[in-house]
Amino acid sequence: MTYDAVWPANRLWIDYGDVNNLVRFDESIMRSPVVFAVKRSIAERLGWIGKDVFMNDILTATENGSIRFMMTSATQSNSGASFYFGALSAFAGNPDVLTSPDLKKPEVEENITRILGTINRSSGSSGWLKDLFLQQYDRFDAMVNYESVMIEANTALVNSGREPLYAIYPIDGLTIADSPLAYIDHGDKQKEERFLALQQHLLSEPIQRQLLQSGRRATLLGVQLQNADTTVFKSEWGLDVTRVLQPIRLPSREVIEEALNLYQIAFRKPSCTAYVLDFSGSMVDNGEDDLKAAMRTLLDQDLANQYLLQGHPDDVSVVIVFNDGVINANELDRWTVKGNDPTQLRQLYSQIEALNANGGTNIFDSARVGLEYLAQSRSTGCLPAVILMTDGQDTIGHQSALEQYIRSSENDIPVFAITFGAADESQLTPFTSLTFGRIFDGRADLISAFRAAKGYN
Amino acid sequence: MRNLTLVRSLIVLIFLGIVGVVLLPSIIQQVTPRDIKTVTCFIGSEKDGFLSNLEVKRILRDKYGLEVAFTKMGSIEQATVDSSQIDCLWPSNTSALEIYRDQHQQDFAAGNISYETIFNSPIVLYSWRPLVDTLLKQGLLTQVDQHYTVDTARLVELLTQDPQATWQSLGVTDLYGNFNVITTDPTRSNSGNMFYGLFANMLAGGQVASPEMLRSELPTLKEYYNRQGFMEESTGILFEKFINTGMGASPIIAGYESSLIEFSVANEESLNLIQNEIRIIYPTPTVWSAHPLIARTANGKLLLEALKDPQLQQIAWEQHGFRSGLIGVTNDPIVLNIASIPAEVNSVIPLPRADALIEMLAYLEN
Repeated sequence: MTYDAVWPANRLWIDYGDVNNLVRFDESIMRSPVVFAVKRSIAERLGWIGKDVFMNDILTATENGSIRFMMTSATQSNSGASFYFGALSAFAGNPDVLTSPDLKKPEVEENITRILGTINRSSGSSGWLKDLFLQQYDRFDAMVNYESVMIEANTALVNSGREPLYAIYPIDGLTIADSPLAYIDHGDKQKEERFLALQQHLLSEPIQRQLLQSGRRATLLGVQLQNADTTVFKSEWGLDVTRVLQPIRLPSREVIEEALNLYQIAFRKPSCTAYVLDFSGSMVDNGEDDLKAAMRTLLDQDLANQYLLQGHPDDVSVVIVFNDGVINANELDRWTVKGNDPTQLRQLYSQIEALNANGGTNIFDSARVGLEYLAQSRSTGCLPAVILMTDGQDTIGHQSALEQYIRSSENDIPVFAITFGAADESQLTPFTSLTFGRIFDGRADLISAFRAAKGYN
Repeated sequence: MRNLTLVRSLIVLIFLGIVGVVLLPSIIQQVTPRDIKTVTCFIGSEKDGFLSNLEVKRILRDKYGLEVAFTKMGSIEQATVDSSQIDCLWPSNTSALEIYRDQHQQDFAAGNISYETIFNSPIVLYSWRPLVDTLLKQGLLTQVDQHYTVDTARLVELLTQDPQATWQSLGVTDLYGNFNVITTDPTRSNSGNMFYGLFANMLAGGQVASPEMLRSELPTLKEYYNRQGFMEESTGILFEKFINTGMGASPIIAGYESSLIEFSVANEESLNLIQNEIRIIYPTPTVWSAHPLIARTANGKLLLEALKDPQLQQIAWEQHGFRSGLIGVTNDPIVLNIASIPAEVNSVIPLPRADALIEMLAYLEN
């Protein structure tokens, strides 16, 4: 698909992605710092209210169990990346700017792995992370997110009578999202004019005022707010908008790239993933080829590298294929790869490639096999997920048994379902939402949907 | 010493002005749409606003029958990429002109290529009121009327001393870490490039750094460069980021004087706030960013002439902050009140030679 505009959370990603120099007119629409948002009572207990909090304090609190927190993936989402760069900089002893040798310091490696290891749930999107936090409020104490998203979360929490979050601005690892809206120039003058009109509209006084009212720092000068509306930026939520916010200097493009790669292959918490894939007869027409291409993108490490989805040495990947039932149920060990050895992962892919689609569609029982397999085999140190792809409706499996199993099981394994062809969301929504998972629409672009789903794991 | 370099720099500017003039029959007549000629041009991004200004477009079209189709490009890049298919180049420094002239000596000598400096804008520093108030008290800055100056040599000393000067050591209690001036990426953007040239001159004892001197300073420049991390590629974006993210993220940046004027004119309703919060600091000495238009073709020459139009020069100054590069054109000082800037900038030093600067860029990049 060709896009006309891009609106990332940080200008950094334009520089990172604009390899053909097509991007013009980038202008920041609003600002929001990335905060460590923690339940206020816990912040109080830790003595954090009104105090300078450093990354080491956060590390200690998450490691000793005082705080259970969630954060988006650093390679898939800006809020996660921002916190990650902030933590790296802090653990490197706050140099002027993070450099390649800093990334190799033993104390950096050790501390960053420790803090990322305490993450209990991840996501590919900051907005979705907030929704998940609200849903799983009792199981988590904190999330890394934008100040503006925390304000949204707090409004929902207060409205439902729950305790709101308190914003911590890590002194030695702060970043600010600047949300630049930019035009992708394909030479269409009319479009360019329409884009500029849209941009001017967003920068106009009434819209900027609305953005400010919704908790975004949209002001003409700086991020300190004069006469801020204290019913939006509440000081009891830790929002002191008059203080000077000093973010870290972002490293050079090369160091950013190196840091993101290290996140994937070394520093992040490993993933345990069960791919549950539909090889029913209806897949023959076109779904089968797309599905194989999508799995190749994730398993072939050269391709995965392009999307920063490479494996980690402690990852576990299992592929479960189904039609009327699970096709490879008796040989799942042969369909499991532990670690990120490119040859083994490529071998796993060639097993998928050799399959031919036929037969019916048993989604429910197959999803359950995936959940059970992960529950048995996963080590405690990984982030588990079932990534299920289907193009049809289940007429065979046992929906209520699956839901019963999910309700009764102690484990917290999300199911991310990818739809294709005639897939029926009304069949998928009940059990994916029970697992606090999500549905991705793969009809327009199955490969992108797989990538997105993997980004949540 | 400084006066001498100043005189020398003025002579250079005047020289560029005179030699560049190519007289063409003036075309001052109403034109019909079918007469419109499209002039293709490489330009520095800071002139995007001027060329996109509707009034500028109207004057160029109605009075001169011209339309400019431009591609934004770094100055040095303009001089080094294939320009055989375009009508003109409009870089933001004379180094690019020097490089281009070296490559096309015959065309210049034969008058096939002509050029003239259309605009000028000094390199300045931007900062914030609380920070400037503190640095003023510390004696690092001097206030002159509504603007501020800093001894460039002292500034460079602070940026290079070992151990590094911290904000705290300069009395700035709101900021952690080391004192710094943020620039655009000197290898990709003109304002950063020029600041490094000025920096090199200071390391050379306040004189124009010769290629040999510059070579010996490269490690010092590289050390400063390596401390910067992610750098913006465009002066406009650096200025916008300064404005948007405020004192904590962008305590002091280097940019063009024109940026503040353009910003103030565009936000006249907030002029009080802007004047209260933003401070413009002139390095003493500073360097001029000259904007020579290099016309390669007949169409390019038509544009070169058109840009001397007094009305266009006035718009350039009053709305976009470009001081005129033309001899005998004075800039109406009324604009100065808007952005609190001085009528004249007199303490100026020329940049090191273009080939030395190119060597510096290559060194920084590797």
